[in-house]
Amino acid sequence: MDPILEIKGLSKAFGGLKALIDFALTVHQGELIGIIGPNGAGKTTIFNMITGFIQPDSGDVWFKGEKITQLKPFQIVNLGMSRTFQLVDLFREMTVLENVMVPCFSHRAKNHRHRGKKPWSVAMEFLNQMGLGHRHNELTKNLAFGELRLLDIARAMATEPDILLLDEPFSGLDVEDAAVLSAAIRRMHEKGQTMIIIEHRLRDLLRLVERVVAIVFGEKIAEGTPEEILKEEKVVIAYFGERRE
Amino acid sequence: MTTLINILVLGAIWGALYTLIAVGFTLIFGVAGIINLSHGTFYMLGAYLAYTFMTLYKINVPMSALMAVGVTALVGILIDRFGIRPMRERHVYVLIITLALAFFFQELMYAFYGPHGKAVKSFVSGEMILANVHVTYQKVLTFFASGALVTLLWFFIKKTKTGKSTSAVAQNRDAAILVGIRPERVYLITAGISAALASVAGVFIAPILEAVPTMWVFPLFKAFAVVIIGGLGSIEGAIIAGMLLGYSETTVSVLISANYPDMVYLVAIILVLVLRPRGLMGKRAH
Amino acid sequence: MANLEDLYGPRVYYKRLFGLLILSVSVLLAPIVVRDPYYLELLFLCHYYVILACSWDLLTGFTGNVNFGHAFFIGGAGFAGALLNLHVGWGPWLTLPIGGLVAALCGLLVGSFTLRLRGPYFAAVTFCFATLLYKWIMIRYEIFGGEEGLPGIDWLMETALGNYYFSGILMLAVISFLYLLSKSSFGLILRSIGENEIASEGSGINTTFYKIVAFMISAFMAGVAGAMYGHAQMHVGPEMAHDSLSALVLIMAVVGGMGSIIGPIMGAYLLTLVNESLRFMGEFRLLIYSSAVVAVILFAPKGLLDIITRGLRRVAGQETT
Repeated sequence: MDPILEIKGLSKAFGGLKALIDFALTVHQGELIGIIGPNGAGKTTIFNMITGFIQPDSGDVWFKGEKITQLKPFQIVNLGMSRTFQLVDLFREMTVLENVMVPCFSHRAKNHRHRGKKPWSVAMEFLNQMGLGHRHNELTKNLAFGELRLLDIARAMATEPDILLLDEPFSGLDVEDAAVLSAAIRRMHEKGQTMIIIEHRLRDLLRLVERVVAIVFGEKIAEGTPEEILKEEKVVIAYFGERRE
Repeated sequence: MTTLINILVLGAIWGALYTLIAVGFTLIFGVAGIINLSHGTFYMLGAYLAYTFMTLYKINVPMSALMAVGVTALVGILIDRFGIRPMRERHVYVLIITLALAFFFQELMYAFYGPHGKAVKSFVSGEMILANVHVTYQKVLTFFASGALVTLLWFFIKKTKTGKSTSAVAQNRDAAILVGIRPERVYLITAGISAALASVAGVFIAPILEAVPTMWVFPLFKAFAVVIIGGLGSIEGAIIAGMLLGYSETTVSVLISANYPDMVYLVAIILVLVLRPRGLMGKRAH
Repeated sequence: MANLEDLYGPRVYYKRLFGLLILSVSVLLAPIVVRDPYYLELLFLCHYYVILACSWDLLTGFTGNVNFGHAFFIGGAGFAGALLNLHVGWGPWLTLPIGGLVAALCGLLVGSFTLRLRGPYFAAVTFCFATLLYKWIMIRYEIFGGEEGLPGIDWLMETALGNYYFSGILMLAVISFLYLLSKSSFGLILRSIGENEIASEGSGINTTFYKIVAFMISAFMAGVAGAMYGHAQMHVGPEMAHDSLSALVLIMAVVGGMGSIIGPIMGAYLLTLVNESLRFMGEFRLLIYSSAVVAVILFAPKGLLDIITRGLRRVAGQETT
């Protein structure tokens, strides 16, 4: 089966700082992949480049067979790739439901929508999937932090993406919210949603994903199942420092 | 030949002046990420305060200049603290409130000084003659003062601890906080320096042009142009673009007509934004 | 989902249009009480400024891109209409829509180059175009009449009463259109752009396209209003393209409350009437205005509308956040 997402030779430097060096990744439909690495390793830069918010210095990204490297963010969303943002920055002065309605007016969502279905009822379904239906009329700025994360995912899901990118979804969540989020991710995975998750908190992530990519200082240092990764010498050093005898 | 010298000399003077006005403007944007539309007002205050101290109170030139600059710097700091700080997040409001303040000060000048131009005596009288071109010493002094101050600023930013902290905040505010720099303090210092530099320009210009309540408009636009051409946030860019603008205007004025130099900067802004929005040396706006 | 239909279904239009109904009735019936042509002309000015303020607000209030050169469209269309009238003989029924279209085309041109840029560049360019037009008008005085402008334009309607009704109906049409627009998906998208353009793009919205369309609509309305003003005054002058007009329109919308339709309406009425009554203050008017804007932004950035709504809510005993 052809991969749904292919990344080859992706590189980016900011001034003198090499943020990402020759990154490559292949993703197949239905996979749940994790990208881990210490802060500043370049993880969010990968997302920003795949989704069109930043232009890479070199390398290419193919999505469903089409080269998307030079496309604008909204075009990429309309092809079927959605993302959440690390600093959850939704539409604060708008209601929760309105937040999810915005993507419902993208080209993609409009095409996918069945005749006669109203945008707000479609948005409501996505809210319910994330367990936020009861808060639909609340102003977004009044939501709790955990709820904001779920809302961001609902918003990203509203364009019915073929692949969903989650940027540090667990950061800042307490144990309960993390459990709710894990359950939601697991549900989506079971329904066949292809996902890539960037995360810094290892425990929550490694329990969910099938395959892990580890990045340190802009370079991919390891790739494999969660068990394999944890045994990788370089990963251990990156996270925990040199082993002392 | 005379024409050439004319252009070279005048262009240099105006270029230096524009640079002096623009570096403060670009500094604020680079560090605080905001456009301060009252920037021209500081220039105007420099001129009016120079008039007040030198002509009305007959205080000697160096003392007057220092006081004028000091007062204006204070005004700049107060505006930043009370007018801009509450609104820093919403750029729209910063633009509007600083523009409203500019109009406010304009009207204040009308109220205190009336609509007629106020003249200030030159700091140094006399003129020099360079290959048949007359250049007043005042203009020469302006050129050197501008150059000295821009150089001082450059050293301040690159070499002193406070200067480097402004650079740090400009590059990455959150990282600067992590190393113990307080951004609000940096913003205040930057606001003060920026206002001071603009007011120096006003002080030196007062003997050359008269002080009128609407004189804040043109330096604001020229500063905008210089900063856009040079790249928002870049001091080097402001220097190059300032000189470029000064020379372009002088060339147009001498060779084509005195009507048109004031359109040069407008056309330049449009061209730059269409062809190379980053400007010559600009950083990306966040 | 009964209450969802209430919030988002077609019924919402009917409920909130009640205010518009009241306004319409007032506008249509006011001349029964107000007979003096001086007041009718004053109200004409109110209608004119409402259109200007609301059209400005459509772009800036919703998407957050500040337009510092609205006078470009007002004066530009005003002069375009005047020239067509004086040289080709076309009347207001032609010059108004053409003035609007010319303005909209200019909006398309300027917008397509600048609205794709982040940051204050759009604000700068709008200002530049407005200033360039003003300078050009003054320089080419043989075409545009210099400081005096162009007199002798055909009237709009023959009487002050006629002008009043023409402008009033145009104003009501503009308000209704903008209101429907703001409640539609188009309005929702514009607001999302103003709230968080990156999130909006990340939700699949072509933000540049929507901004350009909003700018074009804004320009069209301002252009029609400018041409209308020229005919009503039977004269166009360079002050119609001057920065102070851009600033005045901006102040009206800001003081009233950006991003709502009602805000600019209130701001326009209030400031036009205040402007008139403060006429005796002469020099101090702008001082008071600028102080008012500063005060409003610092203490009530969402404008008078926000103050009033919050006050009403407190009176009604509801929670204010």
